[in-house]
Amino acid sequence: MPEPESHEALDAAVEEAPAPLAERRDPMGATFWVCMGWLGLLAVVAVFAKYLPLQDPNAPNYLDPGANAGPSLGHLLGTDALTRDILSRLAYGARISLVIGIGATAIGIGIGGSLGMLSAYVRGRFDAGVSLVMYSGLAFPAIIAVIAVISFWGRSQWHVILVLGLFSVPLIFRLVRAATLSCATKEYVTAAKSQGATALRVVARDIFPNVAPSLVVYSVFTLGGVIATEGALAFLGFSVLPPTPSWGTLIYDASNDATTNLPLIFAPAIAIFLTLFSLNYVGERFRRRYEPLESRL
Amino acid sequence: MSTSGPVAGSHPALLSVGDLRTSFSTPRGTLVAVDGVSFELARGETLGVVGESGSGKTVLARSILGLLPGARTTIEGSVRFDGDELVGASAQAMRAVRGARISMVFQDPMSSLNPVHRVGNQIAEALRVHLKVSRRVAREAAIGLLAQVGIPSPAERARAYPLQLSGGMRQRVMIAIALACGPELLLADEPTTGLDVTIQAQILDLLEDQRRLRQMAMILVTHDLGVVATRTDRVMVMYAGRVVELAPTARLFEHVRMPYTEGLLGSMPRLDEPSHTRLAAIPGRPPDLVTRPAGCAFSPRCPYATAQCHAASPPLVADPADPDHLYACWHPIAAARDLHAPRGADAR
Repeated sequence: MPEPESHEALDAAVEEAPAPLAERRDPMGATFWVCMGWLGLLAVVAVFAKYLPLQDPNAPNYLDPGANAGPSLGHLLGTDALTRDILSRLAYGARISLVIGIGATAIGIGIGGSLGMLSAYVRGRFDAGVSLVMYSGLAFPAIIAVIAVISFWGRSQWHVILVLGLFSVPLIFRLVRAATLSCATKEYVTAAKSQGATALRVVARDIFPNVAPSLVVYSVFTLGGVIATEGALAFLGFSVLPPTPSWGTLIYDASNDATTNLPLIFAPAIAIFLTLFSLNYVGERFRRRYEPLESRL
Repeated sequence: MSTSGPVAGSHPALLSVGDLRTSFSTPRGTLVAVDGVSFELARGETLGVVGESGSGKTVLARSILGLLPGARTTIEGSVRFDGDELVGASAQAMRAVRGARISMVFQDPMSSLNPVHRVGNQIAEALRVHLKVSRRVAREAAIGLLAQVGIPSPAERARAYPLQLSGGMRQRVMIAIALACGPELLLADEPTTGLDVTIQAQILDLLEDQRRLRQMAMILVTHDLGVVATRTDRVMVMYAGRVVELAPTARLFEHVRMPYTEGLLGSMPRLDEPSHTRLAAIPGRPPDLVTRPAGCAFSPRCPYATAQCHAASPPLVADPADPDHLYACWHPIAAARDLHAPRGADAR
C-alpha cells in the first residue's frame, strides 16, 4: 500500500471533528419538563396515595363539612354529594386511570409490537393472515365493541384493561409492522444473516433496537388514548363500578351537581386534560428527537 | 463442466457451482437473474466476476449463500462447498456455513452495518455466533481484528458507532466482521463501489493481503475490469445472467474471444491515449430478463452479430487451442487486435 499511514491519519483526524451526537441534539424545552413534572407527580400520587395525608376516598364527612361543600383547609377541593373528599377521590382516581392506561398499553405493545415485528420479518402467508385479522379489528368501531364486551362480562377494572388493551393491538401492530418492514430490508439485516445469525437473533439484535424508539413513542401516545377512552367509557357508565373512583367515573358522578359544585366536575376534567396534553407533548418531543436521527442513517 | 484454473488442477475444488439458476417471480413474469452458471473454485484461488449492472453478478454471489428473499425466489442447480450441497440445505446447515466458512463483504458499507451497535460489538457478535466464546474474549478478538484490517487506535475505534466512521473505515470494519471466524471463502460483492478512488485501492490491497495471509479463496464481484486485472487468478465475464467468457486473467486480457468482453475492455480509459479521447461505449442496453429473446443475449448490441446469433444461443465452449479459456460465442474474435480501433466505427 502506498503510504497508507498518511491516509489513515487523515481519516482519523477527519473523524475526530464532529461533536458527539448527544451534544448536537435540540434541548427538550421547558414545556417538556413541566409535562414530565406533571406526569411524575401523577405517578407518585398514584403509587403512594395511601401514604399521603389524604382521607379514605370513600369515607363520608356527614357533619363536617357536609355534602357539596366548597373548598376549605380540611378539604382543599371540597366534598361531593355523598360528603366524600374530592381531592382524595381525584388522587385515588389517578391510580385507577393510570393502572388501566398502563395495563392496556402493555397488552397493546406486547401483543401488537411482537406480532408486528414477527409478521414483517417472516412475511408471506403468516403476514397476510395476521394483517387481515388486524385490519378487521381496525374496521370495528372500538367504543361500541368495548361497550358490548363490558356489558356482557361485567364492569371490572381488569375487563376494562383487557378490552382496551386488545383494541389497541391493531393500531400498534400496524405501526410496528411498517417500522420493521423498512428496517428488515436494510442491508445490515442481510449482513447479519450472511454471518449465520438465526432469525431470533436478527430480530432481537438488529431489528428490535431500531424499532424500539418508535415503540417508546407509540406507547406514550397509546397511554394517552387509553386514558381518554376510559374516560369516555366511564362517562357512559361502562368502566369500573362505583364507589371505585376513576377520573371518568368522577365526571360521571358529578353530572347531577355540576352546576352548583364546580370543583366536582372541573378537578377530574382538568386532570384528564393536563395528563393527555402532557402525554401527547412528551410523545411528540420523543418522536422529533428520534426522527431526524433515523433519517440521517 | 471441467474448468480448471492454474491452481484448480492439483486440488479438488473448494466450491463447485453447477448449472445454477436463480429466478424471481415478478408481477410481469419470471425473471431469470442467473441462468445456468457453472464454475469451480480451488482453495486459495481468486475469481473475478465481471459484468455490467443487472448481469447477475450480485445475485450469483447471494445465491451461493442463499441470501435472497425467500418467498419469490427459486434457486435451482447445485452449489457444492467442500463436498456439501448448499442448494436446498437446511436453515441450520446454512447458518453453520454462513460467516464461519463462507463470508461476505457487501457493496455499501454505509448501510451494511447496524447503526445502533458499536462496531466492536458487531465484530464480537460475529465471533459469538459461531465460536461460542465469552464476551470478553470476543471483545479482545474484535480489537485484534480491527488492528489487522488497518484501523488506527483499534481499542478506541471499537467503541465508535458506524455513523462516526468514514466509508473506508466502515468497509474495513465489514471486512473484519467477514474475516472474524476465519472463512475459507470470501465473497466480496463490489466491495469498493461506494468508496473514494484513493480508498478503493487500499481496500482491495487489504482484501488481497488478508486472502494471502489466510489462504482463503475469494470471489471478487465487480464491474471494473481494472480491478480484476491485477488481483485475480481467473476472470468470469457475465452477461444477462450467463457466463460468456471464463479464462485465466492474463490470457483473457491477452486474447479476448467474446465481443462483449472486448466491448468492456474498449470502454475503459487508457493512459496511453491522449486525454479527452471519447470512450467507446457499448451501444444499446442489456436485455429484459423476463422476456429474454431467442439467440445470443448480446446479439442486439454486438457489432459482429449474424443471423445465427439472433436465432440460437451459443453454448459455453472451450477454446480448442486453450482448454482453460471458455467462451460463449458463435463468432469468437480470432486473433489479438487493437481493442480500440474498429469496433466503435462499424457499430454506429
